[in-house]
Formats: sequence, C-alpha cells, structure tokens
Amino acid sequence: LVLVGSPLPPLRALLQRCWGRLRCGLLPSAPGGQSPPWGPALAVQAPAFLPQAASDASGSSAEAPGLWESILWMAVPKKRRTIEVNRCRRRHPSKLIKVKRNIDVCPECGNLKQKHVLCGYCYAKVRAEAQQIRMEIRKKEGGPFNAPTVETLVLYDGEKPTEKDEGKRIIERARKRPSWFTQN
Amino acid sequence: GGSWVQRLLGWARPERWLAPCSLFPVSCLHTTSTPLQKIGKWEKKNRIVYPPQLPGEPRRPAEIYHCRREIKYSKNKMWYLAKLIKGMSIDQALAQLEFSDKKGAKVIKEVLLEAQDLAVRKHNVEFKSNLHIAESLTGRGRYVKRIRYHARGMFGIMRINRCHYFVKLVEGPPPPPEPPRTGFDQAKEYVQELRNRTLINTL
Repeated sequence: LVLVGSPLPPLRALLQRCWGRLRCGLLPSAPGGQSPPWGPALAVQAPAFLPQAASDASGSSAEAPGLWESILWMAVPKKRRTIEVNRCRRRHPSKLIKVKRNIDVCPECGNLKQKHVLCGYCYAKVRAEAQQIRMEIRKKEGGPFNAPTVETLVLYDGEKPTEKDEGKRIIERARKRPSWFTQN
Repeated sequence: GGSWVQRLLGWARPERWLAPCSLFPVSCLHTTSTPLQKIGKWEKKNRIVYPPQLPGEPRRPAEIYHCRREIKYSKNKMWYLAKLIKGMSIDQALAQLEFSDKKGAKVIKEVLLEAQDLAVRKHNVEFKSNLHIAESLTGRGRYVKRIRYHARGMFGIMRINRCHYFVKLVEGPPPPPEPPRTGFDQAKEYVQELRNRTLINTL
C-alpha cells in the first residue's frame, strides 16, 4: 500500500486515516491489523475543541481542519422524494420532447426533410456520385501529391469540352449526366 | 426384450437422416420447441375475433396491436418518445421520429412501419395512412447486473436496462385533441361538487 507523500503532514494523516477506514470497510472480516476495529461508520459529532493551537506542536496526530467538519454543512437530502414529486418533475412540459413544426416534403424525391437542412436522400445520391468522381481522379493521378494546378472539369457520356474549358483537366464519367449536376 | 428395440428406434430416427427434404414433415410447433417463449399478452390481443356486426351497427374500426421486446434502451427515456407520438396520425408520428435525435426513435419507427405493414396485409386496413396511434406504452424488460470498475479497487454494480415498446394502431383519423382545462371549468366543477352534496341525518 503506497501513499503519495503530500507536503502537508495533517493532510497525509487524513489520507492515511481515510484509507484505513476504507480498507476496514471493504474487509471487515480480516482487518489489516494496524488499526483497532472502528465503531459506526459515520458517527461524526462536532468536536468539543478544535486543536488549532496544538497542530503546530504535534505534527502528525493533529486533526486536519476542513473536510470532517464541513461534512455537517454539506447539502444532503432530508427525505426521500415521493414518486408523485418525481413524476411532477419528470413529466413537466419543459422536459417533454417538443413537436417539430419544421418538417416538409422534398420536391425532388418526395422524402421528408427539415426546412433548413438538405434532403437526406438527395444528398446521399450526390455523395455517391462525388465518391465515384474522386475514384476517377485517383485513377488518373495515380498517387498522392500529383494534383495539377489547373481546374477540373467533369464530362459525362457524349459531352465535349468547349473553347472556354481550354486548360482544364478532364475527368470522364461513363454515365448519363445526372439532372442535378448542371453543365457550366 | 423391448428395451433394445426402443433404444434402436430412438437412435434411428428417420427424420434425422432426411433432414433437408422431409418425407416425414415434422411440425416443430408442438413437438420439439417447448413453451420457452411465452406469447405475451399484447401479442394475444391481435387474436380476438368479434362476432359479425349487425347491419345497422356503425363500422368497428380496425385495431392493430404490435410490440417489440427487449430493446436495449431505458424505459424512462423511451417513455418520452411514446408520449410524443400518442394520439398522432401515423404519418406525423413517423415524421417526428425521423428527425428525433434519440436512439429509441429509430426503434419505434421500425415498429410503426412493421405495424403499418401488418395492418395492410392481415387486418384488412384499406389505406395505410388512415391509421392513428391510440396507445403507445413502454414496459421494463429483463434487467441484468454487471460490475463497473472504479479506481482504488472499488466497484459498483451497474444495471443494464432493457425495455419493451407497445403500440396500438386504430383505423381512422386521429381524434381531435381535448381542449385544455381552464380555470372557469375548474370553478364550475367545484361549484357542481358542492351542489351534489347530500345532507345526512336530515329530511
């Protein structure tokens, strides 16, 4: 059992006593042998006097101020909360899920969508197509760090580049142009 | 005498030899599978058969009971979703659940779609949108205790929660919501209660 050596001797004494109590609590049948059997686990009374003056003189045997007295001032439930009180809290309208009023029908595919968000189905289609385009780009480049410094143009079946698209890199996709991917 | 014959017949079971193509069809319903999975009360509600309606009676709306058991979710958290969709039409309920961020929303959506499918196929419902949710409940499933390890050799016993979800779909548009109780209604009821008192031991 290794205790961290803290700089304050009262704190170390407190930790030692804490750990002793925990060990006794865990193994009541086989006590460690160092400390005598304890009384009730929490029988904390306000001490008659605070040995503040004696703390400087006797180093390790002083009461550490703070924790064991401030237990008396900790917030603790006084009575069990009844199920009626619990229900009032759990079923309060602020805790219930609000009904969403911003759901519409996507005009393209007919699925449901939220007003301020893209339609999930249409976006999935776009993502799949973009993934295919990226695969084509990977095949063309053949490795990392080979991206050219010119624009990319995606052409579908039966499309030719115009004079405007002079210096651009062409990516061919072997399918019909999707309706949502407009040219130019 | 007969014991070795019994043992032989017990060992040589023809249905074991011809397992895939069964010349001896063994219906597993009553022979092999013991009643381990008890049919729940909610599932049995689908089996009631009403007597045929008389000509003058109004049409009894179709009722479909469906449930899912042992969902890995907490019953208290599931209750909020069940409360959300109580009394809605099935389309509205599916819309709300689709955009809810909760884990149970996905499960309830599957259950509702299954129930809608059942309604159209087996329960003679004409339009799959003409359903509304009459009841939607949660129940606790089997809990399991596990050890949760803490620092310093301490441990806690945690509980793995599971729940059931029950839903009853009824054919027809959803009923109009009740108007909320105003103070005037409460006052009227109070006055009526006072007036209903009888004086005992008098004429």
